[in-house]
Amino acid sequence: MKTREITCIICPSSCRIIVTGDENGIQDIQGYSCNRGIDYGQSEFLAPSRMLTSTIRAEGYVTPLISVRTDKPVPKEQMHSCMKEIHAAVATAPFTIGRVVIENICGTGSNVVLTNC
Amino acid sequence: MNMQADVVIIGAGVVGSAIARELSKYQLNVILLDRNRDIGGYASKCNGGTLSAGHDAPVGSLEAKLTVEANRMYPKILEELEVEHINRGTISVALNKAELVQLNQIRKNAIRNGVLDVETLSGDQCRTLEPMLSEQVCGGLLIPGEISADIFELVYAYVQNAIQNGVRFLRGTKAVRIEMDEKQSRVAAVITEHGRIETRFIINCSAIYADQIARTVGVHDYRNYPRTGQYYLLDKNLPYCPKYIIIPLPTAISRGRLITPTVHGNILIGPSADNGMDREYRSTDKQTLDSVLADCRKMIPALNPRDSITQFTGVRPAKNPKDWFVRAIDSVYGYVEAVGISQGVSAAPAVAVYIREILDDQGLSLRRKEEFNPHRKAFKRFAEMSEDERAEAIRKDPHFGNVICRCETVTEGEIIRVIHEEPSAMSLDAVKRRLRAGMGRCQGGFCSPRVVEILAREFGVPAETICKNEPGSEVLVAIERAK
Amino acid sequence: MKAVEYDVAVVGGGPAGLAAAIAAKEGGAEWIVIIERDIRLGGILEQCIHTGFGLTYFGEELSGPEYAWRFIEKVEAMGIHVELKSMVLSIDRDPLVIHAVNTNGTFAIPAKAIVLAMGCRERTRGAIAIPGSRPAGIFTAGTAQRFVNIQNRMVGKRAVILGSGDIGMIMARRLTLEGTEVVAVLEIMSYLAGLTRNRVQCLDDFGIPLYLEHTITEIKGNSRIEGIVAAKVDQNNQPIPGTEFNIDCDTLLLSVGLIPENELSKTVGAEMDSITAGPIVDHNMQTNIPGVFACGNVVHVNDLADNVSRESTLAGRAAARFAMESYRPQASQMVQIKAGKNVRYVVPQKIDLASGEEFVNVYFRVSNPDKCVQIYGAVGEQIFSKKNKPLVNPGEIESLKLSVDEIRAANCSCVCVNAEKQGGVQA
Repeated sequence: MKTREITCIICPSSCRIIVTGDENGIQDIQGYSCNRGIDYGQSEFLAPSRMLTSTIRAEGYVTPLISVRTDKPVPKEQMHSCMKEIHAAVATAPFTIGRVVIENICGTGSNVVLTNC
Repeated sequence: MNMQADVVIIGAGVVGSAIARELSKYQLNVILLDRNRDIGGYASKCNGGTLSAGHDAPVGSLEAKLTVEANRMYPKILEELEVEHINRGTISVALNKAELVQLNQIRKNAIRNGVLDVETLSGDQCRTLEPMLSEQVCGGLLIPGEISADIFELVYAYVQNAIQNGVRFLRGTKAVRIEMDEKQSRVAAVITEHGRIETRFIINCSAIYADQIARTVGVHDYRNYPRTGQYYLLDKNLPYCPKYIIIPLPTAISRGRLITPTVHGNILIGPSADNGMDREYRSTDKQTLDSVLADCRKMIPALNPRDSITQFTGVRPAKNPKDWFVRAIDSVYGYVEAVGISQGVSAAPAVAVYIREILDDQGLSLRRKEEFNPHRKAFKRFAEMSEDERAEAIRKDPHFGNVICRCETVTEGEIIRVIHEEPSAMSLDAVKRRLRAGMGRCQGGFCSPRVVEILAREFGVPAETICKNEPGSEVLVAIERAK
Repeated sequence: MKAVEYDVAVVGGGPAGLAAAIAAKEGGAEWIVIIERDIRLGGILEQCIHTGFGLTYFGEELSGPEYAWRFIEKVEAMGIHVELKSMVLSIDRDPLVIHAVNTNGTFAIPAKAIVLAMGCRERTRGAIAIPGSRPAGIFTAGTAQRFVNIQNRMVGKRAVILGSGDIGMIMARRLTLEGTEVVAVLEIMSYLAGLTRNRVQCLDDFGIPLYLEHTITEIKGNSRIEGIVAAKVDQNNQPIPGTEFNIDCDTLLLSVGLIPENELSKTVGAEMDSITAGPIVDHNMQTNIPGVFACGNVVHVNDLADNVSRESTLAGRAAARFAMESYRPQASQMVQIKAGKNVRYVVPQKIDLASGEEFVNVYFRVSNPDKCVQIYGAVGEQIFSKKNKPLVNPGEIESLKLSVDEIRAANCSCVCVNAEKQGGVQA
């Protein structure tokens, strides 16, 4: 059983949420001021995930790189391996916003999509 | 490398480059070398930006003689070399009665030195000329002959004109020692880090490193050490910018902390004068900068550090004993030196003539070159062109329509030109010194990413080899993964 | 570039210029041009690859380029002229003429109304006088961002960041993901300059230590930076002797403030506000020069692109009205807005009572952070439009809606905006 202090990022109040639990579930959660805080505290404790934004090498584009991001958050602990995969990849035409350039990155179920065109 | 020359000049600061240009008037095989990739040495590219009249040089000294002479030579030289300058004049101010007495002595010394047009001013007269001067100023000395100039441009112009007239310039070529003949009585060659240059004469103008070269021919009667000077550079168009160069009374080791309106309209405050040991030390520190500002505020109280764009440190070649040595050495035929030249910028053309005469005395045959061309053509900066001139420049080369430095309006066409024209600009600072790109308010924040790419492209090298100035100052690092 | 007289000419194709141009077109102006110095529209957003844009404007969380594209798409669809790779060098006042240059030549572009949207530049090391050597490896955060996100370059292996503003924190994350080790973020104030969310996701996530109340007292390294000396500061932001410690690094990023880029505004003679460093504007974003409007970071440094878009819409709309001659400012009807208690600056600095709006939004920043604050406008003892805020801090722009009728009725020349701790104001 672990207890973690999590700073909520949903609104500028930045509540300090104290979550107690383990990988099976949450035992206790305190310090939130709203429901969004509960949700955030729970997900951040059990399965912290992050939207990853980056650039990818682009061939035939107006600049050497084009900006990309994951279309869904990826598990926080997989950010660096996702970056490795992004660094190894190259995007080619057509360059349209939202086009998938890497499918199911690192098996996370998230795709990497272009954010520029 | 194995080369041959009649004369090798060690050091492409203002003295070395002035000598190079002087000797390029004669039918001689001249090589100018510098340890750095860019010209300008240390003191010559980082100083107060003025050509002094010589009024405050030690009376009867070689410095006084050569500075006063040079001041007379400069108008013609600046015109021939098309170097931007403003004939400003200097006001030396006294802040109390004791200083007034000193100032009078300085006036007398000026006249003894041959600077006859100095004029005594009352405190009120000072303030009539310069309304921003403090109420404490109780008197002054006007020295009309002091000139504001872009000193780097002067060195650049000297080197360009010398190269134009046949001098070979070797960059990044450090002179390690001088090789003498078997009898150890005359010069045979200069050994550089890239090879040997056989030569009859060597002129040592390597400023703070001069003593190291001199020792290799057995000359031990002086040593050089760095005297750093910290400066504030303030913005352009400030309401308290003076028209004259404002100087306090000199100290034992320096001219004091000056307020200098530069040729480009900025204000330079400083320098300090701090003797040191490390010849590569270039740091500023708060205490010194604060004291420089405090001293200058005694003369113009409105000076505001918030208007400062940047601060930097220059290095003067101090020498112990401190007098100038412009001489040949009896024991080693062919070795000539111009060392300990402080405020050398102001005296350079006269030093060059003096050195020429020494070479003549030493038996070097000086036959004039008929095809010598004294004129260096300066390119007009895009920032200063009229609308028609700009249109014409772009028509001839569209790169002149691509503005890279927004603060100083410098175009890609100009950057490409200074990269390919000798002495070539190979680094960000070299481009900056030639064109002012990066000297404005944003200090290169906007232009430097673009200039790095232009340098890499024009030299055909990876971007991570591009330096801020000398090797070791690379701006970027290599990406060490799948590229 | 055409020498036709444009109704509205917009200088700068970033978020401010884009929104202004679109608003001008929607407001009825026909001939509109955006003059942009880069190779494409979007301005600084093109290198802001992180998300956080559009939360209020579109109700979505977008990256910078995606946010910009929403406007660029519209600009293209509306037939607004765009001149890329073109640098404006100066602006004449009477009549209004823009002087620009590109690889095709020099151009003098007359316009009935001009919108200044040049954005801002970054405060430099020189401007804050950090002592020490001047080696390579020192970058302002935006310049480093340009190298990394646009040019595919790496700025260093081991970095220290000065300044906990959003740009600094976002670059801390960006550099880390690209393989640079970020060893510390130093902040001179006792509080985070940027959003807490960024501290969590850019610093805490990567274990990057944040040193509040610290500054850099020296930079070391002759050719390339080798390290910095950090020190704690006292309440006057002065380094405390004896608290110095070294941090080895080969890179220093400076995130120490943005400065509106107004060199062009000065060429046309716009009157400047010495606190914002931007032009003085009325609530239609018009400067003291009839027909010259300004919006975005060139007026004051904003915190959200969404707010820039809103403000720029006002400017574009008013510029169109001016160009179609349906509106002229009335000097006699101008009421000043001034910064009052705990307020550092206000934008706009004037309201034109004759221009026809019912309400005017005044945007401002507080000087110091505070809790339980009441924001209100005042003329002497008379209070207008109050609202309560649990938290205010200088890093976030606040707003206050004022009623034009109420101000007119007060018959005053000046309204003061205040942010006062509750308990100090009569309700």
